[in-house]
Amino acid sequence: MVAGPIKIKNIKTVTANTITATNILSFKEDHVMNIVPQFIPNTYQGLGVLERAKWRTITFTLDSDSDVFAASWAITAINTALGTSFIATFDVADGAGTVETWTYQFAKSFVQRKEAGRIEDGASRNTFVYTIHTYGTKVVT
Amino acid sequence: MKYDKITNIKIGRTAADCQTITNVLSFTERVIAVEGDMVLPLAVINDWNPSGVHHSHKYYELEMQLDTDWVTDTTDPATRWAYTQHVDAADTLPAIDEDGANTAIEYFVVAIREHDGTAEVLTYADEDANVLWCVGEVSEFNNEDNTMHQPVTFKFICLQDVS
Repeated sequence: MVAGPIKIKNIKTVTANTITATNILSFKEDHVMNIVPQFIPNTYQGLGVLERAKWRTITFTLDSDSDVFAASWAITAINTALGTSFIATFDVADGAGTVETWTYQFAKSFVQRKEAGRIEDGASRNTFVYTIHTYGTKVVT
Repeated sequence: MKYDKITNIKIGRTAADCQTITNVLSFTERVIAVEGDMVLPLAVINDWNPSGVHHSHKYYELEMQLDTDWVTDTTDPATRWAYTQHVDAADTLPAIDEDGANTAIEYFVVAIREHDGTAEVLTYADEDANVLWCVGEVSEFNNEDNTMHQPVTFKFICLQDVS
């Protein structure tokens, strides 16, 4: 067993509700942990930390829109959980075509924001940004 | 003294049982003062000069940015260090628990190379219990051409002085 980095080369796909998008410009996953130090008066050093709920906030920036998350948000109704799949894949920079897969808990994932949908004449990128709120465990393979 | 680069960051239970992480893009330490600044003037009504200062509660916030994540077995991407390397004295728990409280990291040492080759070591925890925790993890990847690094950034809280 050798320790080291597995260097990711680029984002390959995102799949939600069995629809796969490949036009991804950028990906950001923020594993949010609500952990704050605890103090008592007249001490300078903290006593420990208070730990609360954890979740992940994932942002995909697409170059032009996609239906990948379309079944999971609506203006006139509540947003339903991603129903059948929520998977992001990445190409590994090993020259062997290895693909790394991050599988999130689809029934615990929701479209949180859809923003920056911009189409501009002559622009090289027309970006659409989706933010997904997901909780539960992530499986990496 | 002029810093050149991070040589490695060791994180784990002890010097003998830790990950020696070498793909470090950057390491940042900042002192967070809970009340704003570390020292605040303590004004007295109708005095022009403050009569003293208020000292705030303090802690370190540390950031370690890697060029993609570090795994304990390069043939298995599931073995990300924060979810597999044991960090507590009882040798059972990793730094991040997705469905429970994170465990305090008992060994956290940053090795720096100075411009003349001299080695410097910053020890934030050396088999110390309940002083240092992982409190955040952010992965940011980009598909634009000429993207050199795909960073994964870990944030830590440290409640004691560096030595």
